[in-house]
Amino acid sequence: MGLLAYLLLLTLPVEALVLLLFGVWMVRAIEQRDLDALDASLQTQSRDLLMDAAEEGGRLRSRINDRALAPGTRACVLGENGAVLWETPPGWFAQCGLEGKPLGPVQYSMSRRMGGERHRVFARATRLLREDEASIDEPTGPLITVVLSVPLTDLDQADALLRRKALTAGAALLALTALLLFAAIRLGLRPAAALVERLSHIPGPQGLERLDADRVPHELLPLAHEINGLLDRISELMARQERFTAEAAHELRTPLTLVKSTLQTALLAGDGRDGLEAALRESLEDLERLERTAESLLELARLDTLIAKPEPRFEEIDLAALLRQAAERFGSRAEERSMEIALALDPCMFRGNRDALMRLLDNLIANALTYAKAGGTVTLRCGLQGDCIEAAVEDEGPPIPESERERLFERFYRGASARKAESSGTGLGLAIAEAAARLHGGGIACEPCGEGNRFVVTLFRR
Amino acid sequence: MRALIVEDEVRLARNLKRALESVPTFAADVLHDGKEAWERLESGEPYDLLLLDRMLPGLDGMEVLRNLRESGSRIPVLVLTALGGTEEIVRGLDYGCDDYLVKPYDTGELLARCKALVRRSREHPAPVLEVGDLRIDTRTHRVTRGDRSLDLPALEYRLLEYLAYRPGAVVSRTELLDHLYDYNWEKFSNVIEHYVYALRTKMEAGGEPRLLHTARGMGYRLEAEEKV
Repeated sequence: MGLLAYLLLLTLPVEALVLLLFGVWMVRAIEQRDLDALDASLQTQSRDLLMDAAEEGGRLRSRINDRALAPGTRACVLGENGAVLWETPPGWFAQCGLEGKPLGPVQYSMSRRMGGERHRVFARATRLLREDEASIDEPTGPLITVVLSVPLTDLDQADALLRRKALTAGAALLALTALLLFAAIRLGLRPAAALVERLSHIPGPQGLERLDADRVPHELLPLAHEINGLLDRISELMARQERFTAEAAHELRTPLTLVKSTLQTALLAGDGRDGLEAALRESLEDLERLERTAESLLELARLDTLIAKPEPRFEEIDLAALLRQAAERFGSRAEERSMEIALALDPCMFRGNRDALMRLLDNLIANALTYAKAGGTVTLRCGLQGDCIEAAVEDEGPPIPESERERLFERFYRGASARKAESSGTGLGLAIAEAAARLHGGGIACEPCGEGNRFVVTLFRR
Repeated sequence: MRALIVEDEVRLARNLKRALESVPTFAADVLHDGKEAWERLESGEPYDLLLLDRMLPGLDGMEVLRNLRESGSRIPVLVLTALGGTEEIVRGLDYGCDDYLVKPYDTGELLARCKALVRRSREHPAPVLEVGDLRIDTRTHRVTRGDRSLDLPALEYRLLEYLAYRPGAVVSRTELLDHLYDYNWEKFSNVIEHYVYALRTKMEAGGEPRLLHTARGMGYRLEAEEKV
């Protein structure tokens, strides 16, 4: 259901009820006012009639003079026993059904249907005051009753007209309300519509235009801010992706280009058997480098997929045992550079992904054995730190410059020493380690440690 | 023609040099750093072709190109890069390069493009150069005089082709030395005389009139003279 329907459903019944109550009250009030005016006029006329009927000394006149009444008005004067003393037009009182013997002094007015017409009937019974009366408050003279009746035709017609007009006005008011609500919603939602329009037209990566907060109504400001934040994050992701794609293209194309150009040049230059053999050998090395890069990229993609999964499948792992095994695997490589691997391991049971953790540790240890100075010691540590498990790989330098430390874990970033070493590195080893740490809800950092470096992996226990 | 190759991947640069020099037209220099390359170009070293990688240490390839074009140089430039998106290619061309080749490139295509760039920069787009009855086919590097085929070693061919791009113009010995040899060559001016002598011997072996003339004290010119 739309906003307009909601608003109409909420507003219109309430408004209709209020209008109805107000209309009824107004019509009643006007009717009452008219009746009051009529009653006042009837009262005046009845007093005149009484004056006519009463004689000096508190007796009734034997004959009452005819007098002119307001047009349409009927009147009669009754004596003590209810006998009609005088009436106009003649004989009406007998037919009107009001006959009855008045019990005492009284004055009332009522609306009454008589002969298919509504009438206002005013009756007044009064005892006349005798000359010798002791108290004005308690007259004891003969009881005289005056009855007046006026048809309410004009008044009823006016009332009906008033009701019709009130109904028309009410309906018009309801329609106007609906129209205003519709217009207000259209106007109020125009910025939202513009927002939607702008969002639907967001083009490629370059066109992530932010929404202008000044042009958004304040009710939609949080939405606009959120959208802008989202756009910022998307832009950053895209920029990172673009950088990564460019780097990956470079890393994959360079060895490919080398292989192709080496082989083509060897053929073109008409090299002898030795030349061709050298070209083949070089090409094979390039292909191996290409293979390593491709493997690393796949590894990263696998880790990214795992990280995106809500519930990666983890198993129970003894981190200390994992580090011990890694130390054994790297024993001969350490010997090649006369290095030693020292262990400082506390028992650490932990739920995680074995392959990812092994890659993480292998990459860190391999880096230390490749770039730290020959003859030094590489120390592997692990232990509990509160809710976390910390594993560390420490070397004895040379230290990694501070400017490089932040960028070490970026994909394809190679520090100065890695570039200088003309090493076979892919520039992805630490990026893989970082992704593996992230898979376990942790992180990785490089910090100075004495003359050397310490790579600390923090893993959260589940 | 003398080419400068700027490529940071050492082995790729070496391959490029070898491929380029497998064509007798070219002598090639190699640099691995963008800054060095710009210094070399800024010093006015006379190159006829520049092969430029985009991602270079020192100074980015695109910066080198911009500096070069801002200095008013009209050297034909071929940009070699791993960045193959259309946007990247458009950006490269907008920076003022003449051609753009995405790695991994085909060596045959690269050489054909280099030759085409040189022809265009010499305002001679046809692949065959003709002076009198001398024909130089820049595609096959075959040289003929009338019906007779001339067998020329690389340097003699390079010299003849250089002169043939500007028939009738006097080209100084220094210019020839600058454009025929790479940076590392010891430059003795009498080598030119030696090659001119060898070329004349081969070109006139059938008793044909002289095409390669000496402008005394000034240099050489290649021209078919209509005189006795």
